[in-house]
Amino acid sequence: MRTTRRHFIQGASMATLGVCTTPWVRAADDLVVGATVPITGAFAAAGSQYHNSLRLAQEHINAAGGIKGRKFVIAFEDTQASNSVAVNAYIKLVKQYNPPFIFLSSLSTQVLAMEPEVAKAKIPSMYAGGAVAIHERNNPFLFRVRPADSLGAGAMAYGITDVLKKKRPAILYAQDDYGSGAASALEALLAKLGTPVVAKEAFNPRDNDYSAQLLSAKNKGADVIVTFNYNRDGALILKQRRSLGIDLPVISGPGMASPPTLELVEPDDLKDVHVTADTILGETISKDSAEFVRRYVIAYKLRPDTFSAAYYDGAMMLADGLRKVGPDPEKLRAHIAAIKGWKGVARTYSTDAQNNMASTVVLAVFKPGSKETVGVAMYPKS
Amino acid sequence: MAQLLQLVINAIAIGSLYAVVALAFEIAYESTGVVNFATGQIVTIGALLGASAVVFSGARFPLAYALVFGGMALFGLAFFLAVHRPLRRQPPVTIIIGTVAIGITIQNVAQLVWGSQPMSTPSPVGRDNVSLLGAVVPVHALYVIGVSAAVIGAVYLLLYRSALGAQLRALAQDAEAARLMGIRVRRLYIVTWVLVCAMSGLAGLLLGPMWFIDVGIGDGVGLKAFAAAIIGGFGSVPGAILGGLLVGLTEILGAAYLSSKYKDAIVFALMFAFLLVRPQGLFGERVADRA
Repeated sequence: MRTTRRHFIQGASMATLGVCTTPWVRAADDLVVGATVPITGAFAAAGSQYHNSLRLAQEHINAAGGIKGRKFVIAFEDTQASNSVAVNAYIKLVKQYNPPFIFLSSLSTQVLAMEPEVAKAKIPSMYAGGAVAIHERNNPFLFRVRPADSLGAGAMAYGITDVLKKKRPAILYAQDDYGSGAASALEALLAKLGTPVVAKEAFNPRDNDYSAQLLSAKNKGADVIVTFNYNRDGALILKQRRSLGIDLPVISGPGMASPPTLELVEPDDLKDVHVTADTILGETISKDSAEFVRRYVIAYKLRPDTFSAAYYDGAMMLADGLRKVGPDPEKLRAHIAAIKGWKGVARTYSTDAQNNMASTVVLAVFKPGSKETVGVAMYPKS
Repeated sequence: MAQLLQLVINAIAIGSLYAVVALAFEIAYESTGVVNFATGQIVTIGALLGASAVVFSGARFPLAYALVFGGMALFGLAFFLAVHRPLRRQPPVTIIIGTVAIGITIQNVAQLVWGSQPMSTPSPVGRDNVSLLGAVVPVHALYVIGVSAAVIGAVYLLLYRSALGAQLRALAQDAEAARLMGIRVRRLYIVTWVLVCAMSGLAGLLLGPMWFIDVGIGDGVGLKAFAAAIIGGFGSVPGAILGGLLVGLTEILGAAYLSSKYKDAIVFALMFAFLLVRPQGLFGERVADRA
């Protein structure tokens, strides 16, 4: 048959498509676990942090001999900024690899969407989303490697009433499962403490202008602004707070101190900004923590955030479990549920009755004229 | 009072940019008949090029702006060759879906080139604020209002006080008649897309220091500029200006005094109200078919 230009192009296109859609070839003996991560889309900045740290953990686990001589491989699927894509990503991992374990996205809304599939697949999973609604599902296969938002809310309330001694808080929150849940939890907690919220303003996570919400909070007599936000919108809120000349202190969640957020702001945007950080990575925790930061920076030219450290620890706990009990999902689930006092690069982990593995939060403030935080108090008070 | 003034100035700054993009929408539609739903993504390209140009030029803004306008002019030429020409004889629905698809393609390619991390860019007028009647106003907001006004004025002069503008308007009226009158239609199409892309790029360039630049920066701007064009009336420069300002004011004041949760819904509710009650917009001409 004569090969025309059209035939050649058609053939080449089909071949290219075939190469692009064929799953990456893995050795039969590899121990494959899954990970659903927002690699592209609106939450890619946050997702890239633990996409990096999971790959770093994979490298370190294999450098240490893998899992009883087997190569440890994490198969990633992109969740984008969509719940339905996240669910499809989870199902694809289960169907394609039947893995003994799957890391879930850090976005609470995506974890909630994937939760019924997790219950169906009976595969243990770790996630970093903070929403209380997740552990309220009582799914025995879901383990949270970061503090729950209720803990963060407690730390914020403590920071407002006991540390900053403010009486009229305003809340700015992202209008989704994470933001709405956290804002309502804090509002209820503050009401119990006799410090009612004077303004509660919502925004969409992809909004670009927050002047209305900031000025409304100021106009309603707020003496402190609490924000529940993602990286980009948090940075924009701080930038617009400065440009509107609003000098109210801010208390925010851990995302505000994450490197992708700090890349976007100047030190003067961070004046009087407090954060409830999961932890403060580095020497203050341990030498291993400082070493993790150093190796992450070398590998990715970016400082790790607390989410990346939590997923790194999750991968290390998983490797530990796989070495001890093997790849049986139920045995692995029981092993993770029984973890007590496991020392990681972010903190010491112990699994509680609700499968929350992190039980403390640090209240920190940015040093004047700098992007570095310093711890102010630990919550709950020991 | 100071708060209201702050909100209004902020709304006018954002509304001016909506007006510039709405005008780009209208010029494209009037001259080529294409309702370009990739306009938001062209704004994104302008913003991303701006971020790269500021870094490349070492924050020498005249050079950075020249690079962006040059880049957007080339982008306009490419848009003409890759989008306008293949689509020009297609039915309107195909063109609309085609521009949506092109918008998604532009965004995906931008993500491959620039990545997904948002970027912060400086303003040529710095980060300072000024006090106006007790309201704290960023100097960049005033700069945006001034530059947008100058650009809209220049476009008005080009369209209504120059030979090129007369040719563009003739093209908008009837392309075949314009061709018979000796007007080089193909060249005018190229001029149109270069102008549209340069204006959209300028909007992206001015947005950068106000917001953060990422591959989604133009999405909302494109939609709100479309709402502004509907409200103001397609085909009218004053309509684009008033439509843009109305959308900006509705968005910001609606969020401040009605509901921050539903600020986008309020803007689009206004657009729907116009479509129902006055579909030709504030300044558009009433069009009716003879029975």
